[in-house]
Amino acid sequence: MDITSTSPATSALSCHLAAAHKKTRTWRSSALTFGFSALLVSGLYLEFFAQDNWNAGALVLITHLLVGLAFVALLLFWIIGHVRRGLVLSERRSFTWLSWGLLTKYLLVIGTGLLMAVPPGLYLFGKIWFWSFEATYVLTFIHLWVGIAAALGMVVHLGMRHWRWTGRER
Amino acid sequence: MKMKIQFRHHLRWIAAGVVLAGTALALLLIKVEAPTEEGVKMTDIPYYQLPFGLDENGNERPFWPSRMTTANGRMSDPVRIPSALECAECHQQEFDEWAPSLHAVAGIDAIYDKTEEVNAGLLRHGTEQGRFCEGCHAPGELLSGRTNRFVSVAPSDALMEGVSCIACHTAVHADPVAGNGALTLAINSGIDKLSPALILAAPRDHARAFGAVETNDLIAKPEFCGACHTETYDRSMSRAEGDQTVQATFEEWKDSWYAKNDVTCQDCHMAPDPADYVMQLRKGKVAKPERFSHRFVGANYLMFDTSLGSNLTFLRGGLIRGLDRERQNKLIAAQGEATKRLLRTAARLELRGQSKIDKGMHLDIAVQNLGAGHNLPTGVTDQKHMWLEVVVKNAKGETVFHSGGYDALLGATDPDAVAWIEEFLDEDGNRILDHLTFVTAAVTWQRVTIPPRGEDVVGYDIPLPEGETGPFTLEARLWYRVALQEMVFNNLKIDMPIPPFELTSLTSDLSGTEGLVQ
Repeated sequence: MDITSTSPATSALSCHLAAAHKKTRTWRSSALTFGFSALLVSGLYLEFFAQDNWNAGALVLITHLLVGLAFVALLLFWIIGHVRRGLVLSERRSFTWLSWGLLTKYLLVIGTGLLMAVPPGLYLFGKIWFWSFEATYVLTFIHLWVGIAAALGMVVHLGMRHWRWTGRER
Repeated sequence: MKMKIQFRHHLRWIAAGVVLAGTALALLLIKVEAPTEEGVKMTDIPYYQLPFGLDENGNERPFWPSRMTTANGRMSDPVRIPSALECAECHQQEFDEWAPSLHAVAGIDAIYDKTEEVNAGLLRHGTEQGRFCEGCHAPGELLSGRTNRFVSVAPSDALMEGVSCIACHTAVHADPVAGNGALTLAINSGIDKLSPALILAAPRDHARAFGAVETNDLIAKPEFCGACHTETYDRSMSRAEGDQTVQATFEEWKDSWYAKNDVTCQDCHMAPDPADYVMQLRKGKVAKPERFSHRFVGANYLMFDTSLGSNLTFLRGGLIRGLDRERQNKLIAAQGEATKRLLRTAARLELRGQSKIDKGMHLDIAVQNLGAGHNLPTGVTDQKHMWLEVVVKNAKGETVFHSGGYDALLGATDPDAVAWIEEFLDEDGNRILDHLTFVTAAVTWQRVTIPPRGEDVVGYDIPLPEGETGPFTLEARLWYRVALQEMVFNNLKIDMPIPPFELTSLTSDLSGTEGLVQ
């Protein structure tokens, strides 16, 4: 079980889960967090600084693409179980809706990223095709800004209480 | 309040991701150097000659008498200039449009090439003086330092392509008033070096490298075209004593109805169907074309005249690289058809007046410029010219008057024809017929070209034979020719008549001539 996704409803349970977490935490969610952070940093570099040194930028771009594809594959394996388990444990409507919002942002970032990866992918198979300049602009805009929003959303998702306070806990 | 356990756990991974990616980036930037300043120092080109001295500010001017220059002031490295064929990997449609165009053969077409060669042979610094021509015709050659008496720079594919993709898509400044190629090209720094796969992955940066904002804005303006389609002679490039404008297409447009209505060079010459677009303008509709084609359809019908056979290949300076023969014949023929259709939209003839004179009649024929956004004709008008052929026939169909005839065998025109043409004169006042610009001292007009939406009324006093009676009929034709026969004969040393093109014609019954015996 991925205990990093479960909800400690009480402080006692929290302690218990913290101990269990050390033993059983999976590498998947950690890797996803790590990967997303690295993708965000490399993406910001590509957007704002790569033009000053495309010799380095080319390597960052390749890395961003490869890590991005690995991230997508890993997320797809992980997200279904996480949603299934998490929905049951979410006791606050605001948390649930913010989580759906976060998932939507992730899907937008992944979708636009994959769409932008189609032309180089096709090129590797010998076919030249690319989006119009206007479409590229829109895709990049969504990928960048929704990506930043997703990063903030992830911090909120991780930090926000998803269980309801009981009288005793207060 | 306690930190949520998930947050505590993932915070470490967030930090690890940021720190690791940041460190990797920092290391990469330390290890992988940014491209050094692009281009080649002029002093690194052996034997490069600067016979024209310094400019008014005391700076060297490596490309003078052309006003073209690079954005960082350095010469360009030919091997780093992308060929149009490379661009065609992704921009095939644009390549197919551009490849048969005059821009593609601007530096190699035989008429230009031989005439430049003849001009260069006239003067001591003729080869370097040829930079004046090469700036607009072969910017790659000029900017890489190959227009020099001792050529020490190796050629590359891109240099043979005349006005190719990078000649426009790296432009960052244009001066249409100064002309003579007054463009600044970021040809060294404004091109990216990404592989095609990475260009496709980061197309915005490809566009940004080609100055999508600055350049795209500039190349959509008529000022950009004007930098080359304005030609002024001074002592640097001719025998002219002062500034002498010989090509003023931009100026002609600037004060016209077209400029006032924001109809630009690009609108007509880059419309998918220029003839249709001009006809739309003639009806007063000034909407922009739905897209801009790279065919640059103009008035040079000769370079697309497939009936010339192998002569056409010779005139164009060879076959088009990157296209098989069948495809290029098809593209050239299509461009030729578009050129002819555009030419036919330009002018109209109108019989404005007819009256009896002593022993004959007087006719006034109006030649109207209805479709061109510049003068008619325009460009290099010591060669590109227009003349009027007028034939009056009697009732039996016999010709009683003929002016402006053309001999198709010799390629000769009636020397007394009414013609709209500039005359180049040498220092002794003799007419120069073969575009020897470097020894041109003065320019005069036989008849000044007709401004946009303007007209020129030509009067003919037609003597009629004694006893000749009507009814008479008038046949008038407005002919256009891209070059004088002497130029082809003298510079190319070939005996190939240059066919004229009929812009428009008029047939009229002259029975209404007042007082004339019918």
